[in-house]
Amino acid sequence: MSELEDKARNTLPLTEATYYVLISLVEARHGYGIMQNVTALSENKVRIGPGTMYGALRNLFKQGLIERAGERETEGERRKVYTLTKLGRSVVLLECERLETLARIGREAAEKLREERKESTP
Amino acid sequence: MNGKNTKTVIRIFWAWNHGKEERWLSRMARDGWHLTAPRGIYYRFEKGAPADVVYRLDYQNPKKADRKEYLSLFRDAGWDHVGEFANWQYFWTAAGDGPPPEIHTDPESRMAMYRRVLGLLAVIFIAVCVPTITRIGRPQPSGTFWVIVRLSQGLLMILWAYAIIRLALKIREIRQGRTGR
Repeated sequence: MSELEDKARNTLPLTEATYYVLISLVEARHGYGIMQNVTALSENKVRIGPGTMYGALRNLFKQGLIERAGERETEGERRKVYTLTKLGRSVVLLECERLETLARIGREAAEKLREERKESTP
Repeated sequence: MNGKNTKTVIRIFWAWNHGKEERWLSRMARDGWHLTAPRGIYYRFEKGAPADVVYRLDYQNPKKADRKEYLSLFRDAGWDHVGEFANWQYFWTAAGDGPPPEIHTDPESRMAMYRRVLGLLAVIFIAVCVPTITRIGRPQPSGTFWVIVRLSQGLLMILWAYAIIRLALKIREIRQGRTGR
């Protein structure tokens, strides 16, 4: 296993907010852009407040999962834009694989439970 | 000098209980008193139209380069910055119909905030305690003045320790209340 992948694995599992932030940064976005994207992606179920967002950006930057990709001018103000680093990309891929595996394994159990429920409630 | 349209109120809130402070500021705004300058235990208000607003406090010390980004993140999300005191950042936004808006939306970032406060309190505690403790057992200057000094040092240390314990408990409470993970 490569060193990068080892490092990426050490950051897993991600919190829900971190997961949403990282998958939002598949495209370069500024902080508020990420917040809007998370709301849209989660169909309004997850909202990230600005205090949480600022902390998440700082942590992810410190951990080397995201980097600055210049500034973008929106509504007359320049805002810092972020993207995933190589490590960040690796983390997103590994976390998605992990969640897919968990969901696949859990699905069988869930099917069984649903069957049982159907039988017990006529 | 205070005119009719401004007033200064003195109130003390504990760091772990800033929710109480936020609710008090909202009540003031409903009475038409809007916070203009938080100065520790002094709060300056300006008279205006009564408004249904939500106040939130963040504990953050963004460095100069980050400051613009920090404030614009809040502004973009609909929060106005009222002022700051000792790294406590005061924000307000209009109260909507739904649940009150939050600036910290997950337990991790709430815990991180209290850890930052705790970190600072711990540093100050050590700075206050070490000189006090090293003096124990040595010949002490006598007289009422020094008794008062030592008593107030002791009181301050107890108060500080109490604050540290309450903050640590708060962090634990958030951690244990964590669900869905």
